[in-house]
Amino acid sequence: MSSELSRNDCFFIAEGGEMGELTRTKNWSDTSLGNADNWPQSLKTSVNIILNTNFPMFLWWGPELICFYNDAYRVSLGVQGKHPAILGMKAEEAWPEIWPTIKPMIDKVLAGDGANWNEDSLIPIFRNGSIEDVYWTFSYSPAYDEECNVAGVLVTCTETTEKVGTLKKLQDSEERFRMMADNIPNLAGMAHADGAIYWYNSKWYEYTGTTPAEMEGWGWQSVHDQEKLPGVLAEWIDSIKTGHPFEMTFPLKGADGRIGQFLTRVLPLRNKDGIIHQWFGTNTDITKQLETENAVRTSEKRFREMIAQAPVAISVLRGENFVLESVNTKMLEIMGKAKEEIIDKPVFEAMPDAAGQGFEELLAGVYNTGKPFIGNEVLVSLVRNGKPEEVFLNFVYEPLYDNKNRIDGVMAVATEVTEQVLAKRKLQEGADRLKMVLESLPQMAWTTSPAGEATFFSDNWHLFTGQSKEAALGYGWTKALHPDYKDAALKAWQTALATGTPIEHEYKVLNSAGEARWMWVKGTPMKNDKGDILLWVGTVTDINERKIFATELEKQVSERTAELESKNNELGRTNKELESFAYIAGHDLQEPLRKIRIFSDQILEGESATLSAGGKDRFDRMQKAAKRMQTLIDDLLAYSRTTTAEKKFEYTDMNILASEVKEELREELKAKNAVLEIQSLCSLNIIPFQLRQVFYNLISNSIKFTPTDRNPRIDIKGRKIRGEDMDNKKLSSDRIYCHISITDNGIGFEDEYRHKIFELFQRLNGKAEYSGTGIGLAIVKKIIENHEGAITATSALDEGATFNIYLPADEQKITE
Amino acid sequence: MNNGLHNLLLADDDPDDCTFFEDALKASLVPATVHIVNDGLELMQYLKGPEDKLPEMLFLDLNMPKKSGFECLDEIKSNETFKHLPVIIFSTSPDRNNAESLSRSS
Repeated sequence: MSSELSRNDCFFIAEGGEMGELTRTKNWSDTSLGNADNWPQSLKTSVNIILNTNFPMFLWWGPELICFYNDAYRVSLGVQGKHPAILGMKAEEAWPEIWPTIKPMIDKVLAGDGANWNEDSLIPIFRNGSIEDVYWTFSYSPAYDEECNVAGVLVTCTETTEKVGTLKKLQDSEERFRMMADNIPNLAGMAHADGAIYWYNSKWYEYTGTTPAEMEGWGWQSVHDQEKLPGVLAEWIDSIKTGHPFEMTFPLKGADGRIGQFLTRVLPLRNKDGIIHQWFGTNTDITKQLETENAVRTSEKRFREMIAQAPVAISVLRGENFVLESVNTKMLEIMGKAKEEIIDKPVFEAMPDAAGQGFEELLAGVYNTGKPFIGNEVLVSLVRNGKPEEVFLNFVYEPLYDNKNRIDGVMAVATEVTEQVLAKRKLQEGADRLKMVLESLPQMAWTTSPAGEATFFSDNWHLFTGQSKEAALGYGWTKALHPDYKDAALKAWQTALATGTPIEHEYKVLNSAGEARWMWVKGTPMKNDKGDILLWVGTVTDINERKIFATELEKQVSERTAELESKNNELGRTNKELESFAYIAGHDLQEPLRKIRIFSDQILEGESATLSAGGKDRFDRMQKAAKRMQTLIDDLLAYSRTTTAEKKFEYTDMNILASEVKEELREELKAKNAVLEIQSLCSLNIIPFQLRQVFYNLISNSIKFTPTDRNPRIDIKGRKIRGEDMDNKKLSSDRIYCHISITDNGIGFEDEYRHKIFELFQRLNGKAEYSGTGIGLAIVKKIIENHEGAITATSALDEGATFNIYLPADEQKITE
Repeated sequence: MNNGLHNLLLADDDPDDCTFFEDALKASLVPATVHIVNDGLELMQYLKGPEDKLPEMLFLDLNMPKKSGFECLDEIKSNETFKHLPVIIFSTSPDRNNAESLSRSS
């Protein structure tokens, strides 16, 4: 019988590939199994099965556990290994390197424990020239014989080294991953593809104070702001669905109760087929960052506002093209452009009119060197509001730094000073013109600053004094003054400066030969519209001749005045002497008269019996003469007193005064049935007792000089007149006078005597007709003159007389 | 009072005025005698003399030599003994001021 197994035996080793061939062609009689024809059917079936399986399979049969395997398994044997040697070999011989490991498992199966299952187990195998660490997922299952005893072990296995390796790598990398994840400052977590979290790093648990059990799956929701949570969930679920990375910032509750803002990013991890198998996410605490951002934003906002409202023009230029990033209102005014026209454009593009004037270089300089630039009264040609203009600016370019301290822009701050510059120029022109005018004057001319220091002298000054231009400036000109006059001159100048009033002063100035000449200085402040003093301008005029003459004149005047004074004093003394003389004389003269009268009275009375008629008559005439003399002396005394008496002026109502005199003369008026009317007299500043005398004398006269054929009628009236209205030299034209007229209906006098009547001792009538000393009117006139007034008289014979008295009504002078 | 006659004193330097006074006194029919002194010194001497010679009334002229009426008046008014002596001033002075100052001082 052939040991070759026939192919036609359908129960035995049909096909089976290479191993099928090897198994069929092997001489099994050398083995404990013997000839294949004698194998039990169960063996044949088992071998058949494994040879025709594409899944790696191995069979140990019989007490010696003879090895059988298929093509699929053969791959695992590699090269330089057990293939094909182990076919038909005893298991122990075939697998020495792992026998200790697998024998127990085989024995278990043989013992009837049933199949085992090992996943990813490390079962090293000798192949490819060495022992390789190979991972297997395998199952040892019982192979039964006809008697239903376990006759062998069927191994269904597959190498999972790669998988394990991959898994291990994965695990390792996962391990590394988690270590890193624990060490990063962020919170981190990992989720399965369905979004269920399975891991958080330690930082998460530290921050949230939660436990893994609480967090697993979808537990993270508990640390979210419940209001924001729906939004977060929606996003997360969407990401899971679409596989798009998740990014969101939301608040998370910390264990200490604080709420932090976390920027969360979750990225999908895909396998090599692009399928998401996990999600890896981080939460970065950006609370501070947000705060800072907010603060920066706020401060930026405030900065922008400040710039916008600043009273100076400010603009910010960014980048080397100097793009106009911001421009405030004031700057727009200076530029004469609208914001929309220029914002966000490079500055010289926005303002072509400013180009080519050197600013490009200045800006570049500041941008590159970081050195600020300051420009004063710089002229810029601009087109403003459509019109070309020349503008003067004070400006500063300052470099701007970014947060890495690199220059990324320039800030320009400017004020327009066109007006001031033009004004200054105008002023200068004005000053120059002034100088020209001053030089042309015949006098010496000068200007000073508002503070008083000389800024200019015309040539005439330098010619006269010999001072150089420099020497005279400031207060150098004082050196040319005569020393006696320096202090006064400076004082007057300081006063003028302090009060801003024009100065006029005289002093002596020394010429180049050292001779002093009198100068008249006149200076005026020149002011602008606002009233500020811009400068002082003035002249110095030579008045030497005039001054000398004036001085001489003054000297003479004061001499004359002194003379006059001494003469006056003499006069005063003489008057005083006269006064006392008159007084005493009058008094002493009265005394003998008194005696004469008394004695003659006594004789007349006592001796009337013994006296003859002639004797009585003579005594009578003697008495009358004595009386006359007394009256004369009284009147003389009165006359002398009018000049020498104290001039005690009192403001008096003349109506009252006249009425008092009227009362005094009651008897005399009554005796002659006289009517005396007093009307509208003024109140005047007069010496009462003297004016009383005036009225007394005039009224007495009027009564006396009225003939018996009529009743005396006397009218006293008053009115105010102006001195200039009266043609009277004694009246001052600018004074107001009270004109008092006293009119009677007496005998009057010839007009030709109207002046004479006022002379001393003048009488127009004989003693027999009318008594009188002839002094009365002289006294009246003297009194009126004492009062700086005047008196006139008008009359015609037998037609009464009018006396016109003018007294100053001196409450006010005419001032128009 | 001596012999029922009033004792008067007149101080005046003018003999005529003295005569007038005596005449007036006689004409007045007042029972009185009058002693006359002619100047201020004499007046004071007389007053300072024996007490029983003290007059009841003094008529004093202001204008007197050696001592004026003013001075005498001052002295009299400041002297305890004479202070209460009634003094009648008479003067030829027309000056009101005198009268005023006199009335003020007495």
